[in-house]
Amino acid sequence: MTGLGADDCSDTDLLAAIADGDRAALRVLYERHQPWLTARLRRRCSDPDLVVSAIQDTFLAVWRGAGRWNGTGEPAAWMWGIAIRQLIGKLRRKRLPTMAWPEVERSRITVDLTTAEDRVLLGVEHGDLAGALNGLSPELRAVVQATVLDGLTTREAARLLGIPPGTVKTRMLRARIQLRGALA
Amino acid sequence: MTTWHAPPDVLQRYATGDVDDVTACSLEAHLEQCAVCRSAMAASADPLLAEAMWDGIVDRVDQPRPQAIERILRRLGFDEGSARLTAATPALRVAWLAAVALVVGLVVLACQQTGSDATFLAIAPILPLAGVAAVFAPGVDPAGEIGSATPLFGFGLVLRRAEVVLVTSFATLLIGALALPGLDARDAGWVLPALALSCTTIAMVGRAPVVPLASILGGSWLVGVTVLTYLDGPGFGVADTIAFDAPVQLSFGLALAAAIAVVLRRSDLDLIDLGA
Repeated sequence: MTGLGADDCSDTDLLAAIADGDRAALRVLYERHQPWLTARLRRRCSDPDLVVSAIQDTFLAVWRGAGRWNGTGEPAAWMWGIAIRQLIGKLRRKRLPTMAWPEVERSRITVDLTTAEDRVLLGVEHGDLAGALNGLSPELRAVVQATVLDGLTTREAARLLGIPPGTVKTRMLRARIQLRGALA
Repeated sequence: MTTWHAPPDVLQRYATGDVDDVTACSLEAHLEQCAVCRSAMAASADPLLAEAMWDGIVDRVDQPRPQAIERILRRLGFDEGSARLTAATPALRVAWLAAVALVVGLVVLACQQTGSDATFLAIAPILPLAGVAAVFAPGVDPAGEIGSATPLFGFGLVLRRAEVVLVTSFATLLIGALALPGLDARDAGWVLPALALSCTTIAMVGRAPVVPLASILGGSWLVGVTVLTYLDGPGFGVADTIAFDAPVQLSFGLALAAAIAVVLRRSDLDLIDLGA
């Protein structure tokens, strides 16, 4: 980066620099985004090698495709879209038992919530959403997470979870009915 | 912008996979929007893993971008090495593809001018044969000398290249055939001879010199259909000769089946010295 400290640059500026072939900008972007992307992919794939390879391909795709970013929206969300699809592409090639859902105690975090987004997500405003989600079986929750939170299509979710697309649809339907009942 | 930030211990537990799903969902939605929490995660990330992954990325950034054909092969499920080696087939180079397209285009044009499909039907079986001969012939592939010194350079690779040649030539020919004047069922009669001639050549690799064999096979076909057309007298085209009748077509089919059987049964294929 010339003349600008790494901290001053927005992700959008970095992407513009990467599109011009600035490798230092890619490094800054990597340092900012690799940790959370890796952690998020790890929750969706139990094979650490596959996650590493997906992360590498993601930043390679960013390096080559930064010029294709349309400049609107959040670069982080754009990169997540690339990362999860890289992972799905690899899962398709290498049929693996996927989805290790760690069985941990269902401790709820108590935090000071101030924004609408966070209020909805932790279920202050619309009934107990967290409780309702926790009430879903792990299979149904995985489908809700893949389609709603990760923004995947039915087919992509099916590949990620290693189940047929029809099953994704029926599980989503069941999850919706169950959530509606729990939140009513 | 959000004013709330995830507690550091929750982020820490999320990074190690030690939070429940609902908390994880909530955090993930938040992380997508919040640069502060993302950098908090970056601070506690594993630096060794980060460096190792970065080295891998830089390594790939430095590599030349694979050719389009190689990327297509990768998508079709070839692994990286096979994709590169297959894409290095002379037949896949633009020059070869352009030459095939040019020949097919000119032949089809000539057929449309004369209103007869004779030229196309006579030439069509020769084109894939020439491609196959180029794959197997010594001296055509500039990397052949290097390739023959590697352990990977077995018959399997050459066979795969031959498949690619056949597929590309046939695709071009099929497109050309659709533009033929007065297209009918007999115009499909070039397919079996083309396959039979190419596969016979492949089956004989290592037992007979490739280029002379391909020349003899292709020459026989050309001379054969020319003589037959001449014998039929004026008013009859190439497609009217017995070469396009069911019995001859059937024997081309049988020859094709025999050639495929020979290729599949040959156990000495990996030992063939293609440089010879």
